[in-house]
Formats: sequence, C-alpha cells, structure tokens
Amino acid sequence: MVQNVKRKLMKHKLMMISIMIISFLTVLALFAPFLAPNDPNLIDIVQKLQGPSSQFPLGTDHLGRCILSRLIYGTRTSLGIAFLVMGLMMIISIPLGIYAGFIGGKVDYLFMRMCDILMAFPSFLLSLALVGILGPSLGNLILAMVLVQWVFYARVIRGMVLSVKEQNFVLAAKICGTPRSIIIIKHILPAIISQVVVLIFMDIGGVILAISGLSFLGLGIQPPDAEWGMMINDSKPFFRETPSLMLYPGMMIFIVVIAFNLFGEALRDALDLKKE
Amino acid sequence: MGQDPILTVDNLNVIVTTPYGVTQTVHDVSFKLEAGKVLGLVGESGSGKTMTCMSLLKLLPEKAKVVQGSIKFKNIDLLNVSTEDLRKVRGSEIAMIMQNPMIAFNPVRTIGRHFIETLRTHLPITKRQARKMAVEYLEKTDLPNPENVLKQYPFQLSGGMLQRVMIAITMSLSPSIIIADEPTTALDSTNQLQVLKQLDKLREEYNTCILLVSHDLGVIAQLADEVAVMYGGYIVEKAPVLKLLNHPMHPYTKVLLESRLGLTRRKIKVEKRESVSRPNLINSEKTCPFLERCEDADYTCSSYNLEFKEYEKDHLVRCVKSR
Amino acid sequence: MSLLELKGIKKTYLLGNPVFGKRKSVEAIKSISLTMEEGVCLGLVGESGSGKSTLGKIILGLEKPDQGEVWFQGKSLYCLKAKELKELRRNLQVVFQDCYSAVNPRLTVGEIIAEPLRNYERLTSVQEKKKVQELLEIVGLCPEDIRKYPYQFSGGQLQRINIARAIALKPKLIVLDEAVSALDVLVQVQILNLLAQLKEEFQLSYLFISHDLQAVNYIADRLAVMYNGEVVEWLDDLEQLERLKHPVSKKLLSSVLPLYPGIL
Repeated sequence: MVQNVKRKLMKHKLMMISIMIISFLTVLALFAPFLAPNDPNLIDIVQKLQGPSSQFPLGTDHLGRCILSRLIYGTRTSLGIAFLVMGLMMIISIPLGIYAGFIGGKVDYLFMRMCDILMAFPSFLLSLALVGILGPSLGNLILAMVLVQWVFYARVIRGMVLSVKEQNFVLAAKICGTPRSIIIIKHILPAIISQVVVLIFMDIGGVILAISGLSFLGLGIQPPDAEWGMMINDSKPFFRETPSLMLYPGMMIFIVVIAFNLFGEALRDALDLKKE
Repeated sequence: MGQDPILTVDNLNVIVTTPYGVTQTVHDVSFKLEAGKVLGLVGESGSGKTMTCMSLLKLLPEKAKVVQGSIKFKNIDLLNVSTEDLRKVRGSEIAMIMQNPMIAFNPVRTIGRHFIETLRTHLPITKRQARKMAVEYLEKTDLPNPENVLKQYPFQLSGGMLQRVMIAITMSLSPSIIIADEPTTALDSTNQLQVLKQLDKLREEYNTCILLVSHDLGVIAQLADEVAVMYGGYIVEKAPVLKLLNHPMHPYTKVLLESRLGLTRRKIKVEKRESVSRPNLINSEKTCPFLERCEDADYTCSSYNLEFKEYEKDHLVRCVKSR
Repeated sequence: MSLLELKGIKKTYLLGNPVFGKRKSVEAIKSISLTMEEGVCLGLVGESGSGKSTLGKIILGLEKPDQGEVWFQGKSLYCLKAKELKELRRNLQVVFQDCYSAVNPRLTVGEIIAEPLRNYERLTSVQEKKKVQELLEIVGLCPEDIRKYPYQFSGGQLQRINIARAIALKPKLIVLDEAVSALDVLVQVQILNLLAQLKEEFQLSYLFISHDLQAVNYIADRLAVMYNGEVVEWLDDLEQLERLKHPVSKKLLSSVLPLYPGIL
C-alpha cells in the first residue's frame, strides 16, 4: 500500500514537472519577440562562435547569431508546427475514423485497405520521400507529415468507435429513435474524446522529433528561420571546437519530448482513474 | 458435528478505504467449516460475502484490510502466514471457484494445458500421468468426450461446461476446502443444476467442505447443511438449513424466503420502493443494518446493542426482536 | 391485426476468418414464425445459445434476418423508409440484461430518460423535466434523482431507470431481454412486480426473453420454448405448466430449483 502511494506521488510529481515545462515553453513560444535578447536572424560574422557573454547569454553560432534567441524562436516553430500538424491530422482522422467505425460499409473497407498500404512503409521514410518530391518547404513538410500519418490515427479512432458502438447504451439510443448524427455527438464522441486527447499528447513528442529530424536533413524549415533540428545541422562542422552549439538545441528537443510523453502518460492514468 | 472444524473464522472485521471515507464491509463474522459439510452464505450484492471469501485466501484488494479477527485453517493462522506457506495452502488445500468461468481461463491456452499445468505444479507427476488424470476427472463431471474437451480452447466451451471443467480441476487436487463464489450465477438454469450436482458429488466422494456463496437462497438451500444470511456486512442469522427454511427469525431472512419465485403465479408482495435499499456502511454505528427496510422496526431497535443471540441450539439471530 | 407477426425468420452467422481456413456458418435461427396480440406478455425461454437474444434483436430492427418478414403494427419492419421506421420505432422499446452498460455513464438520469422524448416530442425544458420526474416516480425512484449520474445507483435502480426510458413514449411493445437475470433475487421480484403493474397501467405488451422459467412463469401469459433456433413448444395457459411435453421444455422445467432441498 505504501508503495502504491509512493508511486502515485511520484507520478504526480512528474506530472507537475511536465506541466511546468510545457507551460514554460508555451510562454516562450507565445512571447518570443519580447523574451529573446537579440534578433535571432541578425547575422554578424565578426562575432561568430563566441562564448557566453552579457550580450549573448549562450554565445553565438557560426554566423554570429544569438543562440538563446534562436532557441526561443525555435520553440515557436517546433511547438507551433507540431500542434498544427496534430490538429490537421485530427481534423481529418476524427470524422473519418468515426464514419468508418460507426457506419462502416464500403467506406470502411476502402479505408482499411488504404491503411494497409500506407502502413506497409515506414512513415518517416515516406514523409521524407514526399517532401523530397514536393520540394523542401515548411508547407510541404506539414503536408507530407499529415498525409502520411493521419491514417494511423484514423485507424486507432475507428477501433475506439467500434468498441463503444457495441455498448448497450448506443443500441438503446438507436431503439429510442435517436438519429445517427446525435448518437455520434452525444454518445460516441464523449466516450472517445478523452482517449483521443491522451493519444495526442503521447504522440506530439514524436511529431516534434520528426519535424526536427526532417529539418536536420534540410527538408523542413528553411533558413534563416530558427528551428532546433536545423540548428543541430548548422553546428555540425563546428562540433569539435564548440560542442555547446549542438548541445543546446539537442537538450531542448530532449526536454520537450520527455515533458510531453510524461504529461501524456500522467493524463492517461488520471483519466483511467476516473473510469473506476 | 462434533469433529474438529477444518476452517475457523472468528470475529472477522474488514474495512475498505474509499475516497468518501472508511467503510466496514465485514462485521464480526464467525463461522466454522467441517469436513464434508456445506456452509451456505447468502446475501445481496454489497452485503460483504465476497469480501469474506477473499479474506480467507488473503486475496483482498489493496484498499481492503482485515482489522480484527482470526482465520485458522487446521492449525495455521492464515492471517499471519508466510508467503511460502500461503502458496501451499492456496489451490491444493483451499480452492476457489469463481462466478465467471470465462475470465478464469487464459483464452490462448487449451483446457488440457490448463489442467495438466495445474496438476503438475501441485503434484510430482509426468505429463502423461497428468493427462490421464485429467481425463479421469473430466469423466467424473459427466462431461461428454473428455479427450476432446482437453484439446479445446476456453471460448469453444459454454459457460456451464467451463464451470464443470473448473470443478474437475479443483477436484483433482482434492483440496480440503472449496470456496464457491456465486458458481452458478452466470449460468442458465439447466447448467446451474448440473454444477450443483457436481459440487454435491465432490462433497460426498472427497469429504470436502464447501463454502457456497450466492444471492439465491434457492441455490443455497439445495446444497447447504448450514446457512448464514448476510446483510450489510453482518451475519444476521445462522441456522441449519431446514430450521432456517421452516423458522426464519430475522426479518431479512423472512423477506428473502417470501420472495422466492418458484413456479407459483401468485403475486409476491415486496416493498415497492428501492431507494433506501443499500444500507449506509459509512459512519455506521452498531445499529441494525436492516433498520431502514424492516417492517417490524420500532424505537427499541436503535437503542439495543446488536448482539448475535442464540435463539435455540445452533440457531443464531442478530435481531433484538427475536427474543 | 396482431401487434407483431414473424413470418419464417431465418438468420445465419458466418464465423471464422474469410481468408484463412473455412468459414463456418452457424444457424442462429432456423425458421421461426409467431404472432403476438396486443396486451399479452409472451415469455420466450431457452438455454443459452438457443437463439432467443438474436430473435429479440431481429424484432427490434437491429439485425436484418436473412429470410422472412417482421410485421409490426401491420407494417413490415425491414421494408420501410427511414421516416416510417422512425415512427414505428416509437412503439418498440427495449430493456437489456446488463443495466450498467445500457446507460451512458456520462449523462445524468434526466438526460438518459429524456432521450426518447427529445426524439419524438417537442417539449419545453420545463415540460420535459416534469415528465421525467413523473416517470421516475412511476418506476419507484425519487424525482430528485434526476440530477444524479448512473454510478450513484445500484443495479436494481438502474434497471428502473432503463424501464423509465423504455416507457417514456408509451410504446406498444417492450422487448425485455433477460431484463432481471443479472439482479439479486429480491430485486428481481421487485422489478417483475413493477413490470406487471406497468403493463396494466399503460396497456403494454412484453416479449420477455429469459432462461429462467421461474421469472417467465411469474409474469408471462403465453410461453414459447426455444431450442437450437426453433420454437419447439407453445403453451397458451401458464397455469398448466405440467402439460409441457417436449423434452427440452421438460428439462427446463425439471431444472427449476424447488423451495426445499431435495433435487440433488
């Protein structure tokens, strides 16, 4: 029993920490122009690869840009794009997943085959190929990620809907004469929405990683805009002299991904508890 | 009677910690199990019968705790037993038959694998011997074509058949005690009768004692030698089965007896409202748990201490009116 | 015109994987024809797996039969336009066995009971509340329960809520699919009494599906015994249970536990 309490407190602590990190980052992203000490894109070759100073708290990169400011602006791009991608995917996959699961029929069959095909490829490689074909740009990056990954979410949502659909209260609603649309809004959506939210938070870390990964390869965000993955890429040649250049954005990615994963997990536990 | 009891439960008290407060789900429960005898424990859902069973095998959920009392099996104190000893007792000495046979089996293993593995963890025998034993015991439960049953998966059998397989497995270990927690509730009536017959056979052939738990007095009456009626965590009446059926003393027992359907078509009168049905276990003082529903209750009921009084020999009642 | 008429209903399920291995077909219902008059409670008994629940679903319009027709109030249930079907549904309600999963845990009792009303009757929120409270009182609960959530109720009380939802539109036929089987004995009697009383009060007809001959005998007027997807015996007068002749009926009859020990 003591162990159980300890475990719960531990979870609670982790949740608090992750919430703090996430809200801190959100503030960073929202108020980047006010918080950044310097213009992140201002090139000043004279001051390149400098150590920490009062003007540049974390030093400068190979073009003399302020690293701290770039990190702060990078938060904006990373979080913003990750949520945009997630949001777009949900806009597509929630209605389609519900349609396939609840109404079924031909749409469901077509949809499942499409899933089978798309899931036969590793999703990262597939988006890589897509961006390659479309040409590297921010819009294409978002497009590629959404196009490749929405199927996965739609399929998970379809599964959730299938299990709710068989519940007696949905049958009872049908027999009461409730129209399909209302059954979906009143009975199906509320039953799955908490699971979907958990899914979003558990996976957003992965999306951030993928964005950084693609940017690292030069296929995502285009210079001069700051992005963590791209910053790592930029610092590659100077790795030996100034490893901190690579370390800072790496740490940021690490912290963000871990914070979201922990938060997702804690959220899942909290919602499970309510079920009991 | 007169022989040494195999299991003695004395003054058992169990509390459960919920987010809304501490509830006492089992109050001062005492009973004895003797070889070859069946004790029936009857009560509605939430009356504490399952909690009582679970505490016998130390299987209580984390939130529940035995706060007082003793459970003695032969000469072992089951409440303060080492994990090693407890494992020896579980399964081979005290076995349990659950309400839902579907979830008691692993769906990806055949019945044969379940049976043989259970036998081999408790007995030093080879696979072949175990298989032979399994067939033998399945035959005893009147299951058709036991060889074939062993090859099947749990979902291929009906609930009634699975429950009989369960009994066969239990039987093969010849435990001294079987705790049957609502063994027939999930079954239809024809299967219910079959399972009861098997349990009766088990008791006769192996002299096993059975703790039969059910909400249905009809089931209990067929098999039990002695019946304990539980309400709100208390045993409110305990008597040999015929005495209980012929001279019920506690008002709750009377209600239970009157509400048995049987095959009559006459309408049975029971209280119409159900809103006050659940006894409030939180903050309960030592007043009668049945007070709110009792038709005979008056001011004397709340003032007396709730003792378990002997009405006549072997017939105990927890009601102030019964004296 | 009889209330409900089934003509040669047949339903087969395909089991197994469509790609690997053979698909087995299981005949849930072989051939069933029956008629039900208004104001009657027809008891449908059978062992588990006899197809009685499938038949219930077919009558409710949830499973299309492979063959045969379901006529309800003189209209064929599976040949209707959506609008007509909705009108017909109004008179056809259900109470399930598992009272816990039959209510949406996220809605209040008020919303649960009001669901059929919202679909068919245009009531103001005040009227609706009054109506729901009336219904709660009819089924033996307090009007104050309207704001509570399902987890605050016991099994018997939830079943009362399910019954309140079923009678909200004053339907003609209610399918009771093992409606009391999962309840404690005492609560079973209470619910059966409630059902009997409601039947008189609102001139309802019941199709009472159960494996328990005792419960069926207590409330039904006519009896049909099902076995392996067929009705094997009819009994019009339940006072004469001993007249049951078919071995399946006899087996069911003999497995009813007597009031005193001695069956074993």
